[in-house]
Amino acid sequence: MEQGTRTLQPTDNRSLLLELYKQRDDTRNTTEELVRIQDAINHIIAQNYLFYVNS
Amino acid sequence: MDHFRLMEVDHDMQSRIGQLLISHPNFPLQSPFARSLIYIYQDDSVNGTVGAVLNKPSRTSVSSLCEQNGLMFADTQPMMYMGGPVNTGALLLLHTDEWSSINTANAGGKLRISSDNHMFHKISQGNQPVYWRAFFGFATWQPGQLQTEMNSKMWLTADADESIIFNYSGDKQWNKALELCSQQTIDHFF
Repeated sequence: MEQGTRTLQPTDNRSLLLELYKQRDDTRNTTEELVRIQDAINHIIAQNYLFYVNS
Repeated sequence: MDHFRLMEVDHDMQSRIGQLLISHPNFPLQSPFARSLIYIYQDDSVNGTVGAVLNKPSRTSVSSLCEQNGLMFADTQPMMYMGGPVNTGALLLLHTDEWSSINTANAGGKLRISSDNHMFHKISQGNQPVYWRAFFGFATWQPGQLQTEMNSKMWLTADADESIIFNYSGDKQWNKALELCSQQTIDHFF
């Protein structure tokens, strides 16, 4: 049986979420930038909330 | 019969008392619960779930309500909030636990809920809780109804934070709760 070599992308956006958190904590940018990052975090959490709390 | 019903309460059910219920960002904007933040103060398998919508101020100030009832409350800043569509004639006070009135019950954590004729009399005399918010009415769910709505992605939850409950209002309060939910989700599940 052949084995695929393609890396499977996780569907729950955890890695993106953690990256955004790191960006938020590291950012020295403007308030607008922080708001943009926080909005993106909130959006991902909301879309995947049931998956996160049930996994 | 009431006794029998009380015996049926499922104490193993995971209670949501003391939690914030945050309407999902995708909640239809025409719904009265869009961008709502609710504090759950009663939740069991027999009586269902009861909470107060925290972030929808009414046009009535506490001082004008007191005035209508023959009381003098000098501070014109605090507003009455629309706690929900059920029994909108009922007056509720969500407050910190160092204070009580005639009819005060535990509301989870360090919060209490009062509903009686005496509470505004006390407040108008300067005898008031450290933190409080007053409501017309409340919101209710039949047993199992809230879980069904949560499974339909209508609500997010977060452990309550007194600062968010008492220091904010309107959409800003909902946004703050959403941020809290995000932070707690990361902390708990990652």
